[in-house]
Amino acid sequence: MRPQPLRAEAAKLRRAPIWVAYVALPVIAAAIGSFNYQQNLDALTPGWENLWTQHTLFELCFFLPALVGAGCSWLMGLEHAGTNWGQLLASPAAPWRIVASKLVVGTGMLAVSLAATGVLFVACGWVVGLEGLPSARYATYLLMSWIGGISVVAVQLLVSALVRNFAAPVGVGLAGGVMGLLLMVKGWGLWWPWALMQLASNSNGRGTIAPGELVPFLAMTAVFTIVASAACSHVVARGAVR
Amino acid sequence: MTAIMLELAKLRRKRVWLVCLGTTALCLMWMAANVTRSAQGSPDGTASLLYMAPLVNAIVMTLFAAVISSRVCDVDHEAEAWKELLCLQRAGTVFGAKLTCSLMLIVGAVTLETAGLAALAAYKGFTDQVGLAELASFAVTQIGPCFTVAALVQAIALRWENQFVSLAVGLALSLAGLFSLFFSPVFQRLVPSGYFGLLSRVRMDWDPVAQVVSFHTIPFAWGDAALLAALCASIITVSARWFSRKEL
Repeated sequence: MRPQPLRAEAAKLRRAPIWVAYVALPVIAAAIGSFNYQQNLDALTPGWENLWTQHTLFELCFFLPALVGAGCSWLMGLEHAGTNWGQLLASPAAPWRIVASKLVVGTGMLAVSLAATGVLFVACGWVVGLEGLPSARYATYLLMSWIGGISVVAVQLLVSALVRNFAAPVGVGLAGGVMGLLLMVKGWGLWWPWALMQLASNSNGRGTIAPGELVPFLAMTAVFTIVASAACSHVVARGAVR
Repeated sequence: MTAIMLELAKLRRKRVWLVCLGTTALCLMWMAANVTRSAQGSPDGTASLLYMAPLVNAIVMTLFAAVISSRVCDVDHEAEAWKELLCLQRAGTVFGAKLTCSLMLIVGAVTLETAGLAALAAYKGFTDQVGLAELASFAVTQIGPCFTVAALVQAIALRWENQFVSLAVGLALSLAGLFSLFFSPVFQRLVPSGYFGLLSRVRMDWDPVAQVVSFHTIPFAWGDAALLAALCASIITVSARWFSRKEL
């Protein structure tokens, strides 16, 4: 991919500190999750495992997909304003490159949020009196959540390309997260992009992806990402310019 | 009235009613997924539904309020219509009309949700079904916090053209509202979305020895309702005053 569209996306982010929200959300989840953990020590088994579920259950199931929706809305909203689509498509950058660069930026912002979640998890663990460092598997949960999250970013970019409204894709993100939780309980999580992030994170403490599920997980992530990005490129090339 | 009709006309092709329907469907689907675990004709099925609804609403309805409030304000940001609009209408009228518009959508969504809850309870044949007065009381306790969130988000959506800010605040309120339900009432009172649980009239008892869950009804929390009304009035007063002095 030529770097110009990516540079352009990065330049658009320069004076729009939306990354603050991507850090603030894990901060709120960590603060309240740690407090809740402390308050329920008589009912919980003290340890990193229970602190992890307290920190990530609601954040990764409901709020991060919605925040990704807001971020993607912002990325697409910039082009929906005025005649920006016309100008962008008149530039020597193919529509798929524009979509790919937005996908890279969107997944980058998701990485910021997941990295903040990881750092806050360790820091809050020390604050609540847990000793040492958590096992490396939590880093794997975050990495796999990020990989699953790429498909969420791709689908949300498609939704935001189709719906010019800024707010509605955020609702779609939340609805996707809730449906993901319900489908994950039924064992159909692999078939729903929003559930992939939850599946990998072990946020409900029921275990992460089994080794045998790793290939289907990666395959479904790739399928959702490629199909949604291709559809998004098509929408951008044909329908977005009005 | 003209101002409200004008605001509704601006939303005509924005599919906000679809957002209302989608939100209600999501809430009901979520509750229906849980209610399937209750036995047909369960003696406390409706109570469990009325207990669960504020929890679901703290997440979904809070964000719904933020979404519609942001949408109602964004139509004029998109059209860059503020200068023209505020030459023709008083700032207070525009502010009030937008808030009323949000309230109408909230009332629509919560009424649909309440009707859906009653239908779910009837379908499952729960023996503790409640009357219209109880359902109306439930709806009022859910509309109040939802409207307060909408008022707060409207203040932000009018202040900043970038709607990411108002939606991020909506998300934060949603997250804080959900978590507040697990804390003491003192903490819940600090968050507008915490009032979904505070005003709920159904409480749960958990017997850890017998591993049994039971529900009981409490009287309407007039004190908390008054506190929420005061909070809502303060938010509206401050943001309306700020909006009327806004430099265009």
